[in-house]
Amino acid sequence: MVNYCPAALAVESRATSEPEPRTMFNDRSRTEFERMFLPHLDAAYNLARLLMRNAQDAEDVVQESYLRALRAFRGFRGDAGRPWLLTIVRNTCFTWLQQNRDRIHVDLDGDRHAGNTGTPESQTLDRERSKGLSRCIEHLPSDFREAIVLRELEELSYREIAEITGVPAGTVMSRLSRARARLADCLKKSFRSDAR
Amino acid sequence: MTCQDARTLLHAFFDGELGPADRTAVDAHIQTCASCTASLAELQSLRDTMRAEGTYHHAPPGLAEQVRSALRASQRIEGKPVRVEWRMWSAIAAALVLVAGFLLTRSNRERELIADELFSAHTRALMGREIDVASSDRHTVKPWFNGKLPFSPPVADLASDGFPLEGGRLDFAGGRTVAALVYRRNLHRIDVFVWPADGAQPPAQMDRNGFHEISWTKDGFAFTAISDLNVAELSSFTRLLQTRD
Repeated sequence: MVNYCPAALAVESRATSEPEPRTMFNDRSRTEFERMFLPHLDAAYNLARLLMRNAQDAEDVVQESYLRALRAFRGFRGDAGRPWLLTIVRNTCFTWLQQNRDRIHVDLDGDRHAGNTGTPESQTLDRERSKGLSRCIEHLPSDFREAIVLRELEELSYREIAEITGVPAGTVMSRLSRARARLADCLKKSFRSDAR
Repeated sequence: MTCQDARTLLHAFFDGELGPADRTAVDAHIQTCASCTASLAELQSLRDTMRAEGTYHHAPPGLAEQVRSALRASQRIEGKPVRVEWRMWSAIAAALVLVAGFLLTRSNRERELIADELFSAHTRALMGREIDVASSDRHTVKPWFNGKLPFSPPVADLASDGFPLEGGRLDFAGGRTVAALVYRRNLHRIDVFVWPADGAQPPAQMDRNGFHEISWTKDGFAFTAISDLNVAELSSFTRLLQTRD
Protein backbone atom coordinates (compact mmCIF):
# COMPACT_ATOMS: atom_id res chain seq x y z
CA MET A 1 0.00 0.00 0.00
CA VAL A 2 2.25 2.76 1.18
CA ASN A 3 5.90 2.68 2.12
CA TYR A 4 6.68 -0.76 0.78
CA CYS A 5 9.65 -1.90 2.74
CA PRO A 6 10.11 -5.67 2.67
CA ALA A 7 13.37 -5.67 4.58
CA ALA A 8 11.93 -3.67 7.43
CA LEU A 9 8.89 -5.91 7.61
CA ALA A 10 10.97 -9.06 7.70
CA VAL A 11 13.24 -7.71 10.42
CA GLU A 12 10.35 -6.35 12.41
CA SER A 13 8.33 -9.54 12.30
CA ARG A 14 11.30 -11.69 13.21
CA ALA A 15 12.19 -9.43 16.09
CA THR A 16 8.73 -9.17 17.61
CA SER A 17 7.37 -12.70 17.27
CA GLU A 18 8.20 -14.83 20.23
CA PRO A 19 10.48 -17.76 19.58
CA GLU A 20 8.13 -20.60 18.75
CA PRO A 21 8.87 -24.25 18.22
CA ARG A 22 9.72 -25.01 14.63
CA THR A 23 6.37 -25.64 13.02
CA MET A 24 5.33 -25.93 9.42
CA PHE A 25 5.69 -22.74 7.43
CA ASN A 26 1.93 -22.42 7.01
CA ASP A 27 1.27 -22.50 10.73
CA ARG A 28 3.97 -19.95 11.36
CA SER A 29 2.74 -17.64 8.68
CA ARG A 30 -0.84 -17.99 9.86
CA THR A 31 0.18 -17.08 13.39
CA GLU A 32 2.00 -14.06 12.10
CA PHE A 33 -0.93 -13.18 9.86
CA GLU A 34 -3.34 -13.31 12.81
CA ARG A 35 -1.01 -11.21 14.91
CA MET A 36 -0.83 -8.57 12.20
CA PHE A 37 -4.41 -8.48 10.98
CA LEU A 38 -6.82 -9.56 13.72
CA PRO A 39 -6.28 -6.19 15.45
CA HIS A 40 -7.96 -4.64 12.38
CA LEU A 41 -11.09 -6.75 12.75
CA ASP A 42 -13.20 -3.75 13.83
CA ALA A 43 -12.07 -1.72 10.82
CA ALA A 44 -12.81 -4.64 8.52
CA TYR A 45 -16.23 -5.21 10.02
CA ASN A 46 -17.15 -1.52 10.07
CA LEU A 47 -16.37 -1.10 6.39
CA ALA A 48 -18.12 -4.35 5.47
CA ARG A 49 -21.14 -3.45 7.60
CA LEU A 50 -21.52 -0.03 5.97
CA LEU A 51 -20.96 -1.34 2.45
CA MET A 52 -23.19 -4.41 2.83
CA ARG A 53 -25.75 -2.54 4.96
CA ASN A 54 -26.63 -5.73 6.80
CA ALA A 55 -24.95 -7.42 9.72
CA GLN A 56 -25.01 -11.08 8.66
CA ASP A 57 -23.55 -10.43 5.21
CA ALA A 58 -20.94 -8.18 6.82
CA GLU A 59 -19.80 -11.05 9.04
CA ASP A 60 -19.62 -13.44 6.10
CA VAL A 61 -17.73 -10.94 4.01
CA VAL A 62 -15.24 -10.28 6.80
CA GLN A 63 -14.57 -13.99 7.17
CA GLU A 64 -14.15 -14.41 3.43
CA SER A 65 -11.88 -11.37 3.32
CA TYR A 66 -9.57 -12.78 5.97
CA LEU A 67 -9.34 -16.05 4.07
CA ARG A 68 -8.44 -14.17 0.90
CA ALA A 69 -5.96 -12.03 2.79
CA LEU A 70 -4.25 -15.11 4.23
CA ARG A 71 -3.89 -16.55 0.75
CA ALA A 72 -2.41 -13.26 -0.49
CA PHE A 73 -0.31 -12.81 2.64
CA ARG A 74 2.93 -14.05 1.11
CA GLY A 75 2.67 -11.28 -1.45
CA PHE A 76 2.11 -8.65 1.23
CA ARG A 77 5.12 -6.42 1.63
CA GLY A 78 4.72 -3.31 3.65
CA ASP A 79 3.83 -1.83 6.95
CA ALA A 80 0.36 -0.54 6.04
CA GLY A 81 -1.60 -3.61 7.05
CA ARG A 82 -4.93 -1.90 7.68
CA PRO A 83 -5.29 -0.25 4.22
CA TRP A 84 -4.15 -3.52 2.62
CA LEU A 85 -6.79 -5.49 4.52
CA LEU A 86 -9.48 -2.87 3.82
CA THR A 87 -8.73 -3.08 0.10
CA ILE A 88 -9.48 -6.79 0.24
CA VAL A 89 -12.61 -6.23 2.35
CA ARG A 90 -13.89 -3.64 -0.09
CA ASN A 91 -13.29 -5.85 -3.12
CA THR A 92 -14.87 -8.82 -1.40
CA CYS A 93 -17.92 -6.69 -0.59
CA PHE A 94 -18.42 -5.70 -4.20
CA THR A 95 -17.90 -9.23 -5.47
CA TRP A 96 -20.41 -10.43 -2.88
CA LEU A 97 -22.91 -7.72 -3.74
CA GLN A 98 -22.68 -8.60 -7.42
CA GLN A 99 -23.07 -12.32 -6.86
CA ASN A 100 -25.94 -12.04 -4.40
CA ARG A 101 -27.75 -9.07 -5.87
CA ASP A 102 -31.19 -10.66 -5.58
CA ARG A 103 -30.76 -12.09 -2.14
CA ILE A 104 -29.23 -9.33 -0.08
CA HIS A 105 -31.47 -7.70 2.45
CA VAL A 106 -30.58 -4.07 2.92
CA ASP A 107 -31.04 -3.01 6.45
CA LEU A 108 -31.74 0.68 5.88
CA ASP A 109 -33.43 1.37 9.16
CA GLY A 110 -30.42 0.67 11.32
CA ASP A 111 -32.52 -1.77 13.32
CA ARG A 112 -29.76 -2.64 15.75
CA HIS A 113 -30.66 0.64 17.50
CA ALA A 114 -34.35 -0.04 17.68
CA GLY A 115 -36.44 -1.51 20.43
CA ASN A 116 -34.51 -0.25 23.42
CA THR A 117 -36.77 0.95 26.18
CA GLY A 118 -36.19 2.03 29.72
CA THR A 119 -33.08 4.10 29.01
CA PRO A 120 -32.63 7.65 30.24
CA GLU A 121 -33.99 10.31 27.92
CA SER A 122 -30.60 11.82 27.00
CA GLN A 123 -29.31 8.40 25.92
CA THR A 124 -32.42 7.85 23.89
CA LEU A 125 -31.81 11.17 22.16
CA ASP A 126 -28.21 10.20 21.40
CA ARG A 127 -29.39 6.91 20.02
CA GLU A 128 -31.96 8.65 17.89
CA ARG A 129 -29.33 10.97 16.50
CA SER A 130 -26.84 8.23 15.73
CA LYS A 131 -29.63 6.16 14.24
CA GLY A 132 -30.45 9.10 11.98
CA LEU A 133 -26.79 9.44 11.00
CA SER A 134 -26.42 5.73 10.29
CA ARG A 135 -29.48 5.87 8.10
CA CYS A 136 -28.10 8.89 6.26
CA ILE A 137 -24.77 7.14 5.67
CA GLU A 138 -26.50 4.03 4.42
CA HIS A 139 -28.52 6.08 1.96
CA LEU A 140 -25.36 7.46 0.34
CA PRO A 141 -24.26 5.96 -2.97
CA SER A 142 -21.62 3.33 -2.25
CA ASP A 143 -18.65 5.29 -3.65
CA PHE A 144 -19.53 8.26 -1.42
CA ARG A 145 -20.16 5.92 1.48
CA GLU A 146 -16.83 4.17 1.32
CA ALA A 147 -14.96 7.47 0.95
CA ILE A 148 -16.61 9.07 3.98
CA VAL A 149 -16.27 5.93 6.11
CA LEU A 150 -12.59 5.50 5.30
CA ARG A 151 -11.91 9.19 5.93
CA GLU A 152 -13.97 9.96 9.01
CA LEU A 153 -14.05 6.62 10.78
CA GLU A 154 -10.79 5.03 9.70
CA GLU A 155 -9.02 8.40 9.41
CA LEU A 156 -7.12 7.33 6.33
CA SER A 157 -5.36 9.81 4.05
CA TYR A 158 -6.61 10.72 0.57
CA ARG A 159 -3.80 8.68 -0.90
CA GLU A 160 -4.70 5.59 1.09
CA ILE A 161 -8.38 5.96 0.22
CA ALA A 162 -7.41 6.45 -3.42
CA GLU A 163 -5.45 3.19 -3.39
CA ILE A 164 -8.19 1.24 -1.67
CA THR A 165 -10.97 2.46 -3.94
CA GLY A 166 -8.87 2.55 -7.10
CA VAL A 167 -9.51 6.18 -8.07
CA PRO A 168 -7.26 9.28 -8.16
CA ALA A 169 -6.86 11.35 -4.99
CA GLY A 170 -8.71 14.25 -6.68
CA THR A 171 -11.74 12.02 -7.10
CA VAL A 172 -11.52 11.06 -3.43
CA MET A 173 -11.62 14.75 -2.53
CA SER A 174 -14.65 15.51 -4.67
CA ARG A 175 -16.49 12.41 -3.42
CA LEU A 176 -15.79 13.45 0.15
CA SER A 177 -17.11 16.96 -0.36
CA ARG A 178 -20.26 15.70 -2.04
CA ALA A 179 -20.74 12.98 0.58
CA ARG A 180 -20.43 15.58 3.34
CA ALA A 181 -22.89 17.91 1.67
CA ARG A 182 -25.42 15.11 1.33
CA LEU A 183 -24.89 13.93 4.88
CA ALA A 184 -25.33 17.42 6.32
CA ASP A 185 -28.47 17.84 4.27
CA CYS A 186 -29.86 14.46 5.31
CA LEU A 187 -29.11 15.11 8.99
CA LYS A 188 -30.90 18.46 8.90
CA LYS A 189 -33.97 16.80 7.39
CA SER A 190 -33.98 13.99 9.91
CA PHE A 191 -33.70 16.43 12.84
CA ARG A 192 -36.54 18.44 11.41
CA SER A 193 -38.73 15.34 11.17
CA ASP A 194 -37.68 14.26 14.67
CA ALA A 195 -38.64 17.64 16.08
CA ARG A 196 -42.07 17.45 14.60
CA MET B 1 -6.81 34.01 -2.42
CA THR B 2 -10.39 34.50 -3.56
CA CYS B 3 -13.27 32.99 -1.64
CA GLN B 4 -13.97 30.76 -4.66
CA ASP B 5 -10.41 29.32 -4.54
CA ALA B 6 -10.61 28.80 -0.80
CA ARG B 7 -13.94 26.96 -1.12
CA THR B 8 -12.40 24.57 -3.66
CA LEU B 9 -9.66 23.74 -1.21
CA LEU B 10 -11.76 23.78 1.94
CA HIS B 11 -12.18 19.99 2.25
CA ALA B 12 -8.52 19.29 1.60
CA PHE B 13 -7.68 21.99 4.14
CA PHE B 14 -10.05 20.46 6.65
CA ASP B 15 -8.57 17.00 6.06
CA GLY B 16 -5.01 18.24 6.44
CA GLU B 17 -4.15 17.32 2.87
CA LEU B 18 -2.82 20.70 1.68
CA GLY B 19 0.81 21.63 1.25
CA PRO B 20 2.21 24.38 3.52
CA ALA B 21 1.74 27.23 0.99
CA ASP B 22 -1.92 26.45 0.21
CA ARG B 23 -2.64 25.79 3.85
CA THR B 24 -1.33 29.20 4.89
CA ALA B 25 -3.28 30.92 2.10
CA VAL B 26 -6.58 29.19 2.90
CA ASP B 27 -6.07 29.80 6.60
CA ALA B 28 -5.50 33.51 5.97
CA HIS B 29 -8.67 33.71 3.90
CA ILE B 30 -10.80 31.93 6.50
CA GLN B 31 -9.78 34.47 9.13
CA THR B 32 -11.46 37.17 7.07
CA CYS B 33 -14.44 35.21 5.69
CA ALA B 34 -17.46 34.50 7.86
CA SER B 35 -19.06 32.13 5.35
CA CYS B 36 -15.95 29.95 5.02
CA THR B 37 -15.60 29.91 8.81
CA ALA B 38 -19.18 28.69 9.07
CA SER B 39 -18.61 25.97 6.46
CA LEU B 40 -15.55 24.79 8.31
CA ALA B 41 -17.53 24.63 11.55
CA GLU B 42 -20.20 22.55 9.79
CA LEU B 43 -17.57 20.10 8.57
CA GLN B 44 -16.21 19.82 12.08
CA SER B 45 -19.66 19.28 13.55
CA LEU B 46 -20.39 16.52 11.03
CA ARG B 47 -17.11 14.87 11.87
CA ASP B 48 -17.80 15.07 15.59
CA THR B 49 -21.23 13.52 15.10
CA MET B 50 -19.81 10.72 12.97
CA ARG B 51 -17.02 9.96 15.37
CA ALA B 52 -19.30 10.02 18.38
CA GLU B 53 -20.23 6.70 19.85
CA GLY B 54 -22.82 4.83 17.85
CA THR B 55 -21.87 5.27 14.23
CA TYR B 56 -18.91 2.94 14.27
CA HIS B 57 -19.88 -0.69 13.83
CA HIS B 58 -17.65 -2.73 16.09
CA ALA B 59 -17.15 -6.36 15.25
CA PRO B 60 -19.67 -8.48 17.15
CA PRO B 61 -18.24 -10.64 19.94
CA GLY B 62 -17.31 -14.03 18.59
CA LEU B 63 -16.40 -12.83 15.11
CA ALA B 64 -12.69 -12.91 15.93
CA GLU B 65 -12.94 -16.54 17.02
CA GLN B 66 -15.05 -17.36 13.99
CA VAL B 67 -12.44 -15.83 11.68
CA ARG B 68 -9.62 -17.56 13.51
CA SER B 69 -11.17 -21.00 13.18
CA ALA B 70 -12.01 -20.35 9.51
CA LEU B 71 -8.35 -19.50 8.91
CA ARG B 72 -7.26 -22.66 10.67
CA ALA B 73 -9.78 -24.79 8.79
CA SER B 74 -8.74 -23.34 5.45
CA GLN B 75 -5.22 -24.52 6.09
CA ARG B 76 -6.45 -27.96 7.01
CA ILE B 77 -8.41 -28.37 3.81
CA GLU B 78 -6.22 -26.61 1.32
CA GLY B 79 -2.95 -26.06 3.12
CA LYS B 80 -1.88 -29.48 4.23
CA PRO B 81 -2.65 -31.61 1.20
CA VAL B 82 -1.05 -28.96 -0.97
CA ARG B 83 1.99 -29.06 1.24
CA VAL B 84 2.20 -32.84 1.15
CA GLU B 85 1.67 -32.88 -2.58
CA TRP B 86 4.20 -30.14 -3.04
CA ARG B 87 6.76 -32.10 -1.09
CA MET B 88 5.98 -35.34 -2.85
CA TRP B 89 6.22 -33.79 -6.28
CA SER B 90 9.42 -31.96 -5.51
CA ALA B 91 10.94 -35.20 -4.21
CA ILE B 92 9.90 -37.00 -7.38
CA ALA B 93 11.23 -34.19 -9.53
CA ALA B 94 14.53 -34.19 -7.67
CA ALA B 95 14.84 -37.96 -8.05
CA LEU B 96 14.07 -37.73 -11.77
CA VAL B 97 16.68 -35.05 -12.25
CA LEU B 98 19.24 -37.16 -10.41
CA VAL B 99 18.45 -40.30 -12.40
CA ALA B 100 18.41 -38.41 -15.69
CA GLY B 101 21.67 -36.71 -14.80
CA PHE B 102 23.21 -40.03 -13.84
CA LEU B 103 22.03 -41.73 -17.02
CA LEU B 104 23.14 -38.78 -19.11
CA THR B 105 26.61 -38.65 -17.59
CA ARG B 106 26.91 -42.38 -17.82
CA SER B 107 25.84 -42.50 -21.44
CA ASN B 108 27.98 -39.46 -22.23
CA ARG B 109 30.94 -41.17 -20.63
CA GLU B 110 30.21 -44.36 -22.53
CA ARG B 111 29.98 -42.48 -25.79
CA GLU B 112 33.24 -40.69 -25.18
CA LEU B 113 34.86 -43.94 -24.16
CA ILE B 114 33.95 -45.52 -27.47
CA ALA B 115 35.11 -42.42 -29.34
CA ASP B 116 38.42 -42.63 -27.49
CA GLU B 117 38.84 -46.30 -28.29
CA LEU B 118 38.16 -45.64 -31.96
CA PHE B 119 40.78 -42.89 -31.95
CA SER B 120 43.27 -45.30 -30.45
CA ALA B 121 42.36 -47.97 -33.00
CA HIS B 122 42.88 -45.48 -35.81
CA THR B 123 46.25 -44.27 -34.54
CA ARG B 124 47.43 -47.82 -33.88
CA ALA B 125 46.51 -48.65 -37.46
CA LEU B 126 48.41 -45.63 -38.71
CA MET B 127 51.51 -46.74 -36.78
CA GLY B 128 51.92 -49.79 -38.92
CA ARG B 129 49.17 -52.26 -38.50
CA GLU B 130 48.62 -53.99 -41.72
CA ILE B 131 45.42 -53.82 -43.61
CA ASP B 132 44.00 -57.31 -43.24
CA VAL B 133 42.47 -57.32 -46.69
CA ALA B 134 44.00 -54.97 -49.21
CA SER B 135 41.69 -54.37 -52.10
CA SER B 136 40.01 -51.51 -53.86
CA ASP B 137 37.17 -53.80 -54.83
CA ARG B 138 34.22 -53.74 -52.46
CA HIS B 139 33.24 -57.20 -53.76
CA THR B 140 36.51 -58.48 -52.32
CA VAL B 141 36.45 -56.53 -49.09
CA LYS B 142 32.86 -57.18 -48.06
CA PRO B 143 32.99 -61.03 -48.30
CA TRP B 144 36.30 -61.03 -46.42
CA PHE B 145 34.43 -60.13 -43.22
CA ASN B 146 32.16 -63.17 -43.54
CA GLY B 147 32.79 -65.57 -40.70
CA LYS B 148 35.01 -63.10 -38.89
CA LEU B 149 32.16 -60.89 -37.68
CA PRO B 150 28.60 -61.67 -36.57
CA PHE B 151 27.40 -59.04 -39.05
CA SER B 152 28.10 -58.02 -42.63
CA PRO B 153 29.20 -54.38 -42.88
CA PRO B 154 28.04 -52.31 -45.84
CA VAL B 155 30.97 -51.40 -48.07
CA ALA B 156 30.65 -48.53 -50.54
CA ASP B 157 32.81 -47.75 -53.54
CA LEU B 158 33.64 -44.05 -53.57
CA ALA B 159 36.62 -44.13 -55.91
CA SER B 160 34.82 -41.99 -58.50
CA ASP B 161 34.33 -39.33 -55.79
CA GLY B 162 38.06 -39.28 -54.96
CA PHE B 163 37.90 -41.60 -51.98
CA PRO B 164 39.32 -44.91 -53.18
CA LEU B 165 38.85 -47.98 -51.00
CA GLU B 166 42.08 -49.52 -49.75
CA GLY B 167 40.85 -52.48 -47.83
CA GLY B 168 39.56 -53.59 -44.47
CA ARG B 169 40.54 -55.08 -41.17
CA LEU B 170 39.14 -56.19 -37.87
CA ASP B 171 39.50 -53.96 -34.87
CA PHE B 172 38.29 -53.82 -31.34
CA ALA B 173 36.31 -51.01 -29.66
CA GLY B 174 33.47 -50.65 -27.18
CA GLY B 175 33.99 -54.19 -25.94
CA ARG B 176 33.41 -55.83 -29.30
CA THR B 177 35.00 -56.61 -32.62
CA VAL B 178 34.16 -54.05 -35.26
CA ALA B 179 34.76 -53.77 -38.98
CA ALA B 180 37.25 -51.13 -40.10
CA LEU B 181 37.11 -50.00 -43.75
CA VAL B 182 40.09 -48.08 -45.03
CA TYR B 183 39.68 -45.28 -47.57
CA ARG B 184 42.18 -42.77 -48.86
CA ARG B 185 41.98 -39.15 -49.87
CA ASN B 186 45.25 -38.16 -51.50
CA LEU B 187 47.78 -38.80 -48.74
CA HIS B 188 45.20 -39.00 -45.95
CA ARG B 189 43.95 -42.24 -44.63
CA ILE B 190 40.32 -42.53 -43.50
CA ASP B 191 39.21 -45.34 -41.23
CA VAL B 192 35.49 -46.08 -41.19
CA PHE B 193 34.46 -48.24 -38.24
CA VAL B 194 31.19 -50.12 -38.59
CA TRP B 195 29.27 -52.13 -36.01
CA PRO B 196 25.62 -52.84 -35.22
CA ALA B 197 24.02 -49.77 -33.61
CA ASP B 198 22.60 -51.45 -30.52
CA GLY B 199 24.38 -49.66 -27.68
CA ALA B 200 26.03 -46.38 -26.85
CA GLN B 201 27.36 -44.51 -29.84
CA PRO B 202 30.10 -41.92 -30.02
CA PRO B 203 29.21 -38.21 -30.21
CA ALA B 204 28.38 -36.93 -33.70
CA GLN B 205 31.62 -35.05 -34.04
CA MET B 206 34.83 -34.95 -32.02
CA ASP B 207 38.23 -33.47 -32.70
CA ARG B 208 41.43 -34.54 -31.05
CA ASN B 209 45.09 -33.85 -31.77
CA GLY B 210 44.39 -32.85 -35.34
CA PHE B 211 42.19 -35.86 -36.02
CA HIS B 212 38.48 -35.57 -36.69
CA GLU B 213 35.89 -38.13 -35.83
CA ILE B 214 32.42 -38.05 -37.39
CA SER B 215 29.78 -40.58 -36.35
CA TRP B 216 26.32 -41.47 -37.56
CA THR B 217 23.95 -44.37 -37.77
CA LYS B 218 22.28 -45.79 -40.81
CA ASP B 219 20.26 -48.94 -41.48
CA GLY B 220 20.95 -50.30 -38.02
CA PHE B 221 24.70 -49.78 -38.24
CA ALA B 222 26.83 -47.32 -36.33
CA PHE B 223 29.51 -45.62 -38.41
CA THR B 224 32.51 -43.60 -37.28
CA ALA B 225 34.91 -42.05 -39.75
CA ILE B 226 38.28 -40.90 -38.40
CA SER B 227 40.99 -39.06 -40.30
CA ASP B 228 43.47 -36.24 -40.20
CA LEU B 229 41.77 -34.99 -43.35
CA ASN B 230 40.28 -31.50 -42.98
CA VAL B 231 36.76 -31.43 -41.57
CA ALA B 232 35.14 -30.10 -44.75
CA GLU B 233 36.42 -32.96 -46.90
CA LEU B 234 35.82 -35.54 -44.23
CA SER B 235 32.25 -34.26 -43.89
CA SER B 236 31.62 -34.52 -47.61
CA PHE B 237 33.04 -38.04 -47.47
CA THR B 238 30.69 -39.03 -44.65
CA ARG B 239 27.77 -37.42 -46.48
CA LEU B 240 28.57 -39.59 -49.49
CA LEU B 241 28.59 -42.69 -47.31
CA GLN B 242 25.33 -41.69 -45.69
CA THR B 243 23.57 -41.29 -49.01
CA ARG B 244 25.15 -44.24 -50.82
CA ASP B 245 23.48 -47.63 -50.60
